[in-house]
Amino acid sequence: MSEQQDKTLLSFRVHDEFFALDAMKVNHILEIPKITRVPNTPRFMKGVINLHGNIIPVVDLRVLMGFSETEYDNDTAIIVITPDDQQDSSLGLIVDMVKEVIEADGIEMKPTVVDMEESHLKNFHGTFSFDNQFVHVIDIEELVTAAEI
Amino acid sequence: MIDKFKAKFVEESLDNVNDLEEALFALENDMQSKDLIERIFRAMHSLKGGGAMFGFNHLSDFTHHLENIFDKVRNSKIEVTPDLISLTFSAVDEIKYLLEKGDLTAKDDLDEYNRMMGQIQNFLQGGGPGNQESISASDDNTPAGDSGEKTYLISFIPGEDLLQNGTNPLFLLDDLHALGKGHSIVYTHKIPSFENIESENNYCLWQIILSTNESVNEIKDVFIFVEDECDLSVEELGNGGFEMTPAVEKFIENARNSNTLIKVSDLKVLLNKNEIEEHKTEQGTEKTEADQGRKKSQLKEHKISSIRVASRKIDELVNLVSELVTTQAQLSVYAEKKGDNDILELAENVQKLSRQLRDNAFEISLIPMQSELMRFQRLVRDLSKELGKEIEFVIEGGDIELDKNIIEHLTDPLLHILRNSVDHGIEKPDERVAAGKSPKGNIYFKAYHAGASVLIEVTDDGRGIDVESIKAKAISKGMIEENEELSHKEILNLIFLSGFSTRDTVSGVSGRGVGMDVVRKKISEIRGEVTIDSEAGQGTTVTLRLPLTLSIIDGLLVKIGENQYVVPIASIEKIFALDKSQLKDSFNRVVIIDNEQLPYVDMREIFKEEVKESETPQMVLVRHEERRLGLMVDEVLGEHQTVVKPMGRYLTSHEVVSGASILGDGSISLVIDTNRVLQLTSTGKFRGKTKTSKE
Repeated sequence: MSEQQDKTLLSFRVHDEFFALDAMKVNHILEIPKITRVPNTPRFMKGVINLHGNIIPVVDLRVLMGFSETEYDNDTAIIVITPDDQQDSSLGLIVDMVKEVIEADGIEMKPTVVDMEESHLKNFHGTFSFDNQFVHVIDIEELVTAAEI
Repeated sequence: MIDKFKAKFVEESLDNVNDLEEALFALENDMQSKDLIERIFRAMHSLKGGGAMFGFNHLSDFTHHLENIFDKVRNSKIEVTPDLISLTFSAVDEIKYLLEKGDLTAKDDLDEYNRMMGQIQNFLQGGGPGNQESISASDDNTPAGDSGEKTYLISFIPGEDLLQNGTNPLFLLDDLHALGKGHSIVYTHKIPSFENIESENNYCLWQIILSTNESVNEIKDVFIFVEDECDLSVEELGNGGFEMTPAVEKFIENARNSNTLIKVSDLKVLLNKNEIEEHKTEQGTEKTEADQGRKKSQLKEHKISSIRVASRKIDELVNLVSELVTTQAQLSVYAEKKGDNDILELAENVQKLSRQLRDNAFEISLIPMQSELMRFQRLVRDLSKELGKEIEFVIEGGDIELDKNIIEHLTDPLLHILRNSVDHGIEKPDERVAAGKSPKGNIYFKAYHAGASVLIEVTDDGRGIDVESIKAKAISKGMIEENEELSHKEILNLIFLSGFSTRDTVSGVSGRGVGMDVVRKKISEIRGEVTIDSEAGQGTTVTLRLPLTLSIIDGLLVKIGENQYVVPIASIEKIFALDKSQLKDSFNRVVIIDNEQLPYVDMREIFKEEVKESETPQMVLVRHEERRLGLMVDEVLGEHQTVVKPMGRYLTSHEVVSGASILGDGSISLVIDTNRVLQLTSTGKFRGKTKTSKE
């Protein structure tokens, strides 16, 4: 639960909750480009984008985590992660807003307690408090498994 | 540095081993062929030489003894027998092992090594049937008086760059001395004065008078690695050994002082004053020179015909060409928008060139299956011997080429299929006779092109698959319902389900974990398909359908709903414009075109597109084997040369989209796997229930 040490995290907002993931796995942060829908896929799979000639699937974290969908606005962004440094593991995550980079060194991590009934993601590395906000640290491995169709 | 060379040596040696095995197989069928024996000998010789050079001492020693056997075979002192071939086959395995391990240290390994070595030595001493005399004669090195001994004058005149590839001429002289008794003369007159010396050059030349039992070939083989860098002549001086007399010594001394090479005729006069057969010797010399010329030219031809490139570089090339094709498409779009004739013309030229380049790069990444076939032959041969079965294994279409990535994925599944055929398929000889078949079983391996695919069929005439027992087993495992009606083919397809294995007892050969479910999984990873057909008592055929390549295809760009899609042109038969009125019998999803009934699917429906329907839909007729199906699309946009890019691991299991391609304007079109659409349609998996027609 609380093995989150010496790590740099990237925090972002989805719906009205704050989340973070290992910043070392993040490759790009993009504005929403044209997304090509891939038919016959689950609702959270928004489609694929062309990132410098590579095809990257994009998942809407709102849908994946069971929140209601909204229109994309100026703050909406795609965080592209590459979980295991292989190009074919690249995945885009649509979030409502990218917040900041947090040095997690020395931050006290507590077990996560949030109601995630509707969510495909249930396990988190933990929750910490930052600027009077609770931030839940996403388990990338679980995220990756959840994103497979 | 040296490790790099070692790796290279191992790689090249494996080629040699491959060649060796291939020649052995051929030799098994044609035991008299001199060419084959020569080829085997040569491969062994390269292995021996290279092994010593790169510190594979066991390998070198081992092949040295093996080579001795084949040297005797070459000189007709030993006959080729099935025993010899079997021994050599197991020796080849040991060679492979030695290549992998380097010098052996583990006790088990050494025991096995010594056991093999013992067998080889037994063979050498015991000899093949008959001819034992001559073997023992050539085995011990007693000179003088022996009928086989002859004396040669060897002139070895290396070029100045001899040392640059790491050759040490003194080692070559050592090798010569190992063949018999010799006397060498070194000429040093070419060494320049000190200030002009290039320390890396060789300035010496040698003449060697050698008495030996070995043949001229054996002598020349010492120089096999340097024959391009030197002038070499081996001339016969006469029968019998060589005695150093004061007269000869003086003669040599003179030659060395005057820096003129000894002429064979002069020396001969001195040695055999009585009988001078000058005429004969000259003939001999001419012949050796002609021989040498031929050998060299053969080597040269071989060098030019192929080059060795790291596969990583080929992957890189194919990737770069893919990028180029994408960029070229962008250029074409831009040129069309500009409407400038000059740019249009340029864009067209670039398109032509990149198309050619694409085809070329694509061809380079194809390799013939041949290299893998050897393993299959070996498997069938060894396994059938082990199981006491007689099997004739026939290969057809081994020159078919496939993308190397595909071949890599193909080997294991094919080995498994063959193992199944040998182990479960073909019966023992007595069973076969009882069943009214010939005692010898047959396995056919056939590869051929069909459209954009390559088909590989493995057929055996063994006991076949008992459909009833499969059904019973599937029921007992709860895979199907007891009263479920299944066709012959559907039942056979059950063996592809995971957890299904037709043999209850694991035979230690096949049934060892990897079943047909794994075969199918592996094959579908490379976008291929497996089917099986079998009649009980008649035999089984397993067919693999594989794509030619994984990356670049010619496609037809179509619009379905809001998206653009690519349909591979290779699978398209015809394109029709449709009139709404033609779809009157839409309940059955059959459209009549040119008096032909064709089943079709509405792609909008499959893709659950909600956008407004097109008024002028078009029909793309695709075909896979005997099945045809019309795909109704909103609009056909045109032909598109496309690089299929993977969509990442999250979408690999998508039911109909097998990749994506980037268009000239940077937008993405998805590639439709038409075979999957056909399959899903025929199994009624899509909402629009449709039957496909059979012709």
